[in-house]
Amino acid sequence: MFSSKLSRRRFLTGAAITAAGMALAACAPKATPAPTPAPKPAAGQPTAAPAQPTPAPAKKEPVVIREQGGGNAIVFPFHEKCIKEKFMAEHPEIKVELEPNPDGWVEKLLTQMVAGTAPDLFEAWGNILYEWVDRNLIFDLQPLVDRDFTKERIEEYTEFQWKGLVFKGIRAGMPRYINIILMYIHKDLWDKYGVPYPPEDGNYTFDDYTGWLKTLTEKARSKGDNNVWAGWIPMDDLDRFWTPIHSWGGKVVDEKYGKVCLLGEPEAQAALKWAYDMEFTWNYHSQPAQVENKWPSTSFGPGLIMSAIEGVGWLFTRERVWGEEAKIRYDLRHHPKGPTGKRSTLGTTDCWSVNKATKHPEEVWTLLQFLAGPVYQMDVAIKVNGQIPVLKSLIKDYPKLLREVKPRLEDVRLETVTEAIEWGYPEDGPWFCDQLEAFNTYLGPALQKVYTVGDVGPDYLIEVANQITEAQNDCVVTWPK
Amino acid sequence: MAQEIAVKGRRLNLRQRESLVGFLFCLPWLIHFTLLIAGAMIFSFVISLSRTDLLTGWKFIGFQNYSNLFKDFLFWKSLRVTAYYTFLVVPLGIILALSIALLLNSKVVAFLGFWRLIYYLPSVVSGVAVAILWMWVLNPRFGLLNATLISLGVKNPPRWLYSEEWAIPGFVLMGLWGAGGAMLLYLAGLQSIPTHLYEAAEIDGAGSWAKFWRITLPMLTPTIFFNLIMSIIGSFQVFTQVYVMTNGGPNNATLTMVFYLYRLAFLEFKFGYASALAWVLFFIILFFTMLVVRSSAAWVYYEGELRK
Repeated sequence: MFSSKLSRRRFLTGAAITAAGMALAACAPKATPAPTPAPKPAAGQPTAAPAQPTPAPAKKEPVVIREQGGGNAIVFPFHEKCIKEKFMAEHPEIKVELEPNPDGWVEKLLTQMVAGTAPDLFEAWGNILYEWVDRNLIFDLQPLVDRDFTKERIEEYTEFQWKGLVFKGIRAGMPRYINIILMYIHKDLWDKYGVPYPPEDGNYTFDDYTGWLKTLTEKARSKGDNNVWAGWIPMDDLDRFWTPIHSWGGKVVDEKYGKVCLLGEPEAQAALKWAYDMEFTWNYHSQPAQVENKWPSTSFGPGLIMSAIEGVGWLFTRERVWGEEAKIRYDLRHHPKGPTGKRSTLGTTDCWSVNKATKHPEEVWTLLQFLAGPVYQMDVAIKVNGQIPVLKSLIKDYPKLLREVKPRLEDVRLETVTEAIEWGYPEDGPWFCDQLEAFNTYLGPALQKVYTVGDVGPDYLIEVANQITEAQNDCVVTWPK
Repeated sequence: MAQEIAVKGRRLNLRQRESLVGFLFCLPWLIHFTLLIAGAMIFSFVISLSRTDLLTGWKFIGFQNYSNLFKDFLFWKSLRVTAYYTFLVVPLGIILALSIALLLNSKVVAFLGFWRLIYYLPSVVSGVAVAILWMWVLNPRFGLLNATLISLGVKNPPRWLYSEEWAIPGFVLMGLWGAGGAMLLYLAGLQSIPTHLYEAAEIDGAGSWAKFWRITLPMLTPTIFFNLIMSIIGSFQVFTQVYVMTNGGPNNATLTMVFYLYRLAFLEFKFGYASALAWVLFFIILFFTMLVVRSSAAWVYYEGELRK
């Protein structure tokens, strides 16, 4: 006998079957309507003429790609506008879904890559790329470059950045903008203490630099100004500590992906000793604790430091904070030369990278070329961010273009930037075979001990260099499969 | 037909039906626990036996991650740092929270409600905000703490987060600032102590110290017990302030176990090794928790409990 009412057991059975069915449906691949095959004519019959006129071909849906990044809340709307109006209008076959970087986006992006839900295109730079390439997460752009780029087009990009974006044998990204580390001077404070500015032609050494900072410090102290320091190089920062070493003619590691740490060599030790004396013996450079361990750019605006060896990658941000808000006068000068006449500074490898799991490499490559191309570089990198563009043809006009947007920059010698690139002294940082072990386990803590705590001198790094070399012994450079 | 349903309906008695309802109410939590906690724990144990970055493959290596851990000088460093922090902050936190609660429970302080609010407020502020605030408090040059010490005549106050010796004591001070949460529990415990116990003690001629020692403290032991266990677990898992304020530095002076675990897993992609560390940390916390639980028979007193 069948009950007309739904019993609990039947309900539960039905619900379970429905749930299982839905789960299976969710797991199944998305149904794609297969093209309807034309009916086969019967043997011996002529092909039937279409009964109705052929309908116009259906409009092809654009390919959707996801791009993450585009700057902070101020910049993002301009990034979005440029992509929509200049790229998507030109390429109706591609729809770009833009996603701003969330908080902690590097870890989140990694998690998304593991889960297979990462965007197709995202911002990246050397330190993170090194590991991501190792984990086979980054799409190699070299075959596409080889296919589509002429020699002249490649030469449009600066050599240090173009070469620096090759990680472990693959081209891991296309340049996003250029950031190089130069010297800012706080003109109000240099004037206050009556110290002439460094010459514009950059013809000076670290000895000259030390002399200016000594004079600034002495004059400040003689006036009772004890809360201002002549300069600061954050020597506990792994992106910064090596520039004096290279300028002194030393090296951190024997070669790219090398295993021998050379911080114990005389040139490196001399540079490290100079940096230590600047902080702890003479205190011409501030110690991190004296300036709240803020970044040099943060200490510069409020006048805690009178010169800053700092990046020029986001000049409009600097101008907004220093010029418009703090209302200080500042200028740009070249990085000093070392005792051997060599000049070296960091040039970053900030880039756009592609998720290896992308399903639309061609469309992403089209967008990448746009982002690293003249339209985006002019509209967003230069005019919105005040960044150094990645193309040489735009770099030469960079000072003029920036001053058109921010006339106050008339007083800032932006030609220093174009000269630095032309002279070719920005370079990529050192890379160990096992970079993370060398930096996180040994070098980072040791640099903190010497340059943050200051309870040991730089000769402490000789033993650390030996430890790094020993630890790198087992390292084998792994190349993506 | 109706009769048949009624017959079927009688298959579950009242108690069974109530149990069923109870289980249904628990079901969301059970699903959450099974999938997101127990499942993750089992997964974590499995990968702790592998060399994996979760991206390029797995290699089963047995207990090698565990044996490597005991040869890793940073593991020992992180264990020392975490233990140092825990053994400082837990007892000091209990003493401070209890002292404030006793003070606020006494009749000598005016505006009790106001003071309770003041002491409790820090414990509702988010960890990151507290960390940023304390970066200023602990600043060696501009900080409130050193300004106070200098005004008290201290010639060379500590450099706190810029010193290997003083960084953890700095974190401990910051941890004590949030003692208001535990204070509230002690206050609730104090107010639930029956007044007749004190009246009887007074009749017997007990003084303030005797009343505190023989009534207040024993009656508060369940609250102390609870706070002790929660503090031990919490302080072994300290992470936020390290992440925000020092990044484990200077020279690994604040490299706590959870921060080291985070670094291994999310910065160095050593998920198998990090999972082994997580399990070691779990057993360390379990050991101390069990130690407290086992010892509780000797020092925790429950009202109405009969002891031989």
